[in-house]
Amino acid sequence: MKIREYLYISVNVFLIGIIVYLTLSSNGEKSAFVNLSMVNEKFDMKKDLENKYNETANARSKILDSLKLELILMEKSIENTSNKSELYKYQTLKDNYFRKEREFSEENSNLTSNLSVEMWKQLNEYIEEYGQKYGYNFIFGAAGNGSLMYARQENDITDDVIRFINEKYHDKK
Amino acid sequence: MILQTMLSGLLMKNIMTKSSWYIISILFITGCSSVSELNPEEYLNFYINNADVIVNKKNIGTLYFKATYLSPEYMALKMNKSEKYSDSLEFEIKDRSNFFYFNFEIGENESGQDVLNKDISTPEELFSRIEYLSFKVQNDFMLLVGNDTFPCLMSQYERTFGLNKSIVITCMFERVNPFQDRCPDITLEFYDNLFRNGYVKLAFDGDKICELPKLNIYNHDIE
Repeated sequence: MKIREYLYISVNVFLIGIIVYLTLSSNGEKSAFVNLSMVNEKFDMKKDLENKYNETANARSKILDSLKLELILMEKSIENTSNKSELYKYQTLKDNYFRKEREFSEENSNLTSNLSVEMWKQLNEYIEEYGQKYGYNFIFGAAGNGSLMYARQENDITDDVIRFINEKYHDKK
Repeated sequence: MILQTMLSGLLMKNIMTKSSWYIISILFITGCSSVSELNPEEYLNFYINNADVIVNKKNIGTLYFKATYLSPEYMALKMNKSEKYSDSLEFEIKDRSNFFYFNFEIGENESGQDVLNKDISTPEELFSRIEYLSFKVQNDFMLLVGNDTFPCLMSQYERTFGLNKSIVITCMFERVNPFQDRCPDITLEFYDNLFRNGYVKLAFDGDKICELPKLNIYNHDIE
């Protein structure tokens, strides 16, 4: 009879313990962190945007190359000339080349920052969706700059987030 | 005698079980493989009411991007509203079967404001946006069919002067004929040059597109 009572009490204590643990863990805020550089690196949209940037930058570089070639050829042809019209043409071409070079350089840098903004817009959207879907209160981004000083390794959800954001980006059902 | 009855009973049961399996299998196979045929009115109703098969939507920030697959039959019917049962309709369906058509829509999710005027401060910006939508937007569309990529052959921006708060563009892509045999998945890709959201991809299940009902123009009563 006594053994039965002990058993009964211990089972009850065990069950109460489980209930208390579940209640506390459900009330506690669920948080995790992602390695931002890895997410950034493995997000497929980044690769697509990089390709887009390279296409544009290469096209601009080709335009500059042909202008440069034209300039070099003209430079050789006017080496021993005093023809003012030819010199004027050369000067105009040279100005045009440097103007284009400056323009392209500015446009390339604008393009880089625009593409970065585009990538972060979608990245934030998908991580927010991930957080909502899996019931996170916080998802921190570990960038290695001191914004997150310490987190336990078991709270690292980087791989899951990468899988999720790429599925969302490619719209896989 | 009892044994004989039991044996014949078992035999009958066996035959019944086998035949019922055959019937079930045949019903299952025909149920899975047959694509239903609808008359023009039914087809248009089906098309409007089965949005989940032909529509895909994605939210980015406050905006939504929505793509609707428009079948050749639907396009032909919409273009020939007065001639629903004619040879010319059949000819048009055949002609349009060489292309994929998609309606692409960009709109505001929450405010419901005119998205064309979103983040615009000068009339010049509005005009350049309209110019982009009218003439250049097709360069920012791509269709991925299996492993193949197709550019947008032609796009049409619907100018509604504020009546429709969203931006609607119809885009046409080349359709390679063996599509119906393989049914690969389709992804409509748009590079958002207007609101700087980068690439927006909207995927469609190839099998579901292949399983859409067929349009039957002739075998029904003409109104």
